[in-house]
Amino acid sequence: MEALINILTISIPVVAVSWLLPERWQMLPVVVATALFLAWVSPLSLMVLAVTTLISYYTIKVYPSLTSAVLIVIIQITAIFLFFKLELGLKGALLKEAIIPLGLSYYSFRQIHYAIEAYKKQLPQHTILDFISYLFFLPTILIGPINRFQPFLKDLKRRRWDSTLFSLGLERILYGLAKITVIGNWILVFKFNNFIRSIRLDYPWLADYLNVVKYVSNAYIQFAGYSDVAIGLSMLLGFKITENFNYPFLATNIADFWRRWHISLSNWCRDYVFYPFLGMTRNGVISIIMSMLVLGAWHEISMRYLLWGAMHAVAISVWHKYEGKAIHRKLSQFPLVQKGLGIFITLHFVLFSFVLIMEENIWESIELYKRLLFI
Amino acid sequence: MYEYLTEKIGDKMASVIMAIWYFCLLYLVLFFLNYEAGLFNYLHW
Repeated sequence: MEALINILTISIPVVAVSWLLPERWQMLPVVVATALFLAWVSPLSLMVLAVTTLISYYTIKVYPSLTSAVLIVIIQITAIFLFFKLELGLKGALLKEAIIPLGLSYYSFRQIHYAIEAYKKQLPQHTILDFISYLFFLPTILIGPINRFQPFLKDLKRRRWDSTLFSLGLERILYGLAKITVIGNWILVFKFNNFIRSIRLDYPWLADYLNVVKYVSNAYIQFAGYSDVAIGLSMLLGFKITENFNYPFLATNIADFWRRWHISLSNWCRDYVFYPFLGMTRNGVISIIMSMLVLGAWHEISMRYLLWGAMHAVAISVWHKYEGKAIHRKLSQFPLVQKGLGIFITLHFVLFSFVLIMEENIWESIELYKRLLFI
Repeated sequence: MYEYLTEKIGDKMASVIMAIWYFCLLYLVLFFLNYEAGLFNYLHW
């Protein structure tokens, strides 16, 4: 929350100065403010981002073989990502402390996306300044979304002062902040938590169940709120950034859930893990498992997140198998029942899976599973 | 929401209601941010 307030405070002069400057200098205050913000809260992150940005751009630009250049960039970014994420995963078990560069997960995936698009020759003409503007973009540096380079560049070239977009941006920031402070921090974390505590002695099972509901809904509200602020801030600067959530708890099946929850990350995994693996192996199940494992590892490289990813992979595979069965076709004759049942089952599977990541370690999660399943 | 209100009650009233709505939200956000600063310290937000 503190970092978000800092970003918002910095953004007020940045947005004003940006629109007052001549067109070719308009991104300069945004890039400088991002660098200063990172230097202030996470100097390590600034160093990693600056070095990888230059290496990624110039390797692809200058290196004679495009395939080797792209491979160098991907290996470089993946190695840095794995190093810090493994450090985080080992925290508690082997290490006392782990320092993770702020926003690493987002900008490393953006750079891998850039490298793969360069390999596919899908990148339009651009300069190093465009690439720096893309990676040093204050609204999305902290908590995403993992926006793509091509739409960003399009907005960068075409953006003009638009009062409607500006007011929509302000509205979006207000909604985002209201989600975080009122619904998330006040209603869910404080009020709902107190209610759960008050019933724990009399109804222990219900308290455990509601605790999982609280964790998942708070995770959604906080993340969706932060995304709203990021999208709103981008609008203030004239950029339309990709949406990250679309009512995920109304998903009627688990594949639908991943089209609605953290959309930018699941689309990234679909495009850069699922499709390449499908092309190589011609096996949908293996491709789903690989992409969900990457999705889990993106959060943290630890047993609980890998299991969480694997659990979702199994569920998506089961759903795809079920889709072809006669019972699914039969149930389709009752669309309302199918939809209601779909939402109920999907939501409860999601709640069930989040138990794995809501506790400090896997053993505590197992204890909670035992209590929830009356074992 | 604004478009819906404009259709139902006209441009002027819709603008007034939207302004009240935004001020209420802004007040709530500021109120809870202020509230959190003391109340939620123990949660390490």
